[in-house]
Amino acid sequence: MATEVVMPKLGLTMTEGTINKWLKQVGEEVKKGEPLLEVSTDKVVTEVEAPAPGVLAKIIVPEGETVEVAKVIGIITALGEELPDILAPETETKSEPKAPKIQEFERTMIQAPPAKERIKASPKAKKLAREKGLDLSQIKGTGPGGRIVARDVENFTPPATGPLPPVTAGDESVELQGMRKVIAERMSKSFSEKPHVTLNSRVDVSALQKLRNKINEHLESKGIKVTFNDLLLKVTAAALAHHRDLNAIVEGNRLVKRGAVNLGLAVALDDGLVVPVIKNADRLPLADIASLTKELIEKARAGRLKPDELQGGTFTLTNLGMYGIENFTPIINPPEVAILGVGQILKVPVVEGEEIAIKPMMYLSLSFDHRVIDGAQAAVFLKTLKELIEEPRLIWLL
Amino acid sequence: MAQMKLVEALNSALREEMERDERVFVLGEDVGLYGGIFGVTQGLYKQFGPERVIDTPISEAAIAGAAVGAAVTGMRPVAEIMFIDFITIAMDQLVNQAAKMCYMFGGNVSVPMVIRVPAGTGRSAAAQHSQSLEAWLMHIPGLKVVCPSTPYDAKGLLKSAIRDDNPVVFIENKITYNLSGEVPDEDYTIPIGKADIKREGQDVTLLATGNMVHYSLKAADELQQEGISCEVIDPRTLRPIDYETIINSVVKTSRLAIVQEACRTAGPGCEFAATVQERAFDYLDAPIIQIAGMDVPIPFNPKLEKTVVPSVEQIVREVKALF
Repeated sequence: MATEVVMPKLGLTMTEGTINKWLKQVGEEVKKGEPLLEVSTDKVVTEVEAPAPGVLAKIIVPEGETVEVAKVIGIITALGEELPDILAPETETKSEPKAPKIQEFERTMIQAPPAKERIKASPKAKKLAREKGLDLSQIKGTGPGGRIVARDVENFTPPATGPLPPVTAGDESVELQGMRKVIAERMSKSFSEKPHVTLNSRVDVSALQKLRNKINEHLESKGIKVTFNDLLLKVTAAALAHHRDLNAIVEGNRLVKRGAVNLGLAVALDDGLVVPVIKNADRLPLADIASLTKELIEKARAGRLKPDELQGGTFTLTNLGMYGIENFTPIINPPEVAILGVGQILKVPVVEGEEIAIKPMMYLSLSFDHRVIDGAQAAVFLKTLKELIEEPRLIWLL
Repeated sequence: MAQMKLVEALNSALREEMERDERVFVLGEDVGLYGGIFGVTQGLYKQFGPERVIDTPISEAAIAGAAVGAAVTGMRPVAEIMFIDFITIAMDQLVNQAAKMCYMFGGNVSVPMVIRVPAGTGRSAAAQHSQSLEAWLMHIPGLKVVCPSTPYDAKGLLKSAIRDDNPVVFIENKITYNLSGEVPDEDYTIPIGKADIKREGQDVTLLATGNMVHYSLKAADELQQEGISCEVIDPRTLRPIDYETIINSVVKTSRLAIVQEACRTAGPGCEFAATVQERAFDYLDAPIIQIAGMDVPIPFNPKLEKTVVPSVEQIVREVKALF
């Protein structure tokens, strides 16, 4: 029996996906569960497994094309089975002498190419758009059948950038698409919705550095290496477990303080940024945090994170220290309510008692959503974090 | 102000005009002794006698022809054709004679006549006694076509029709005959060619004549519950059409739904839709729709009869779909 291969729905918000690559050729044998193709969404590239054993009989949607979720993209037939007539390749159908079948085929062909859709708008909407100098293709229609009607034009707020700047030789004009579009939307939504306040605190990291060296001596035989960042994740998770106010999400009028601490870690890519999530970070042993973080960063850079690994974050950590940045004002990753920015570790003179000492110091920059968190709440959390970093043994007290 | 039925309002208009001007007389089948099949000429025979209230043979061509002849020789006849369905037999007299004479005699002749015709469904009178043929008449330059929906409009418009120097076809919707309404005691007229806003609204214009005005008003009440504010316009005259009132309304509401009992194809709604889109295209926020009678002969069976013409529920449903 022929089995249809459909574009899978890889996340709640996924509506379409792009065929990155077919991993099998037409005619090649596949086992059930074997990787069959790669699909990319605006967030990730995912391998899709064969839904049935047999032979990849037909590729309906070729590489590089984008289709809606649940659309049939290929056919697997059982070993030795003929492809059903209706799905047979073009050439065979053309040689068929029976007229009705050809007609059927032609009818489907007419439907096949996704023609460029004409924008449906009422005359009044068009006139209004003309008068306001708005581009109808930017406006979403809410009238019958998705028609753009006058209210849609009236309610539309054009992006703040205004009309496109003229492009001259040497310029590069790029439309925001895929991941960049998602980042743009999320960042502007966060920044316009959430009143951001950023608190800066300078911490002495000499104790944490010493601890990392000690731990790595112990773990050397096991082939595990803990980074300074892993330790920061560990102490941040511990601090969040005791300051649930900041381990939260806010959606509309509702604030949910999360029971689990799911730490997001911002990972820069060549062409964007993703935030893989370390689930239950407060309950994971340090070695597990270290290996999981390493794995997630590698997957992120390869574009192979699964949607599940990008969802459910409750707090985000972002580190720009490696670029020589001392402190900055990170933008909260919505719907979370706070984000911790980590700066460069610099050896600086510090007054200790009546003496001047040279110490490795680092800035923590905590941005929080002032609608749901007050300054003092955030400051107390930051203080706990500072204490844990400067005296890691205190983690036992938590 | 007196409360009276539409049929009584028409009767009083005829009586008052006959009292006012002795050139006015009535002719038709059973309009005399019987008082008219729907009672519009009730009592006129007794008051004015057989000279001015003439029972004719069953020949619509003769009735219309006699009216044309009387009109061009100085009388002001008001002819009744028992059902609009039978106007087909009078069409040559109406279309080729009455409508053309003033033009063809260089304005030296006028044809001041009225032809009254009951129209529409609702009485289970079957396919030859239930039609709405107003589009046939709207099509003829030289005719005026009037179709009132309330007792007040009926009286005022019938008086204007009788006093008009052109042939006027006066369409009376059968179902509205028994409708009551206020009518002034004193003499008044309503100008031909002037629409009336029966209900003011903001979101959509419903355009209807005859009984469909009342259905549209009921639908407007229901739509108001759902937050849709309807303006209901009764053109009252189908030729000449008061486009100024209609266009002003559509400019305000951006939507037009035409409600008519007449069959959809080449019915009055086609004329309204065509002209409104031509003159107010940039103001339309939705397609102009026709909520019209089906393109079928009117069935005798009362349940079937109801289904082939618009209902209040259908108006509500189709107007809602515009938003």
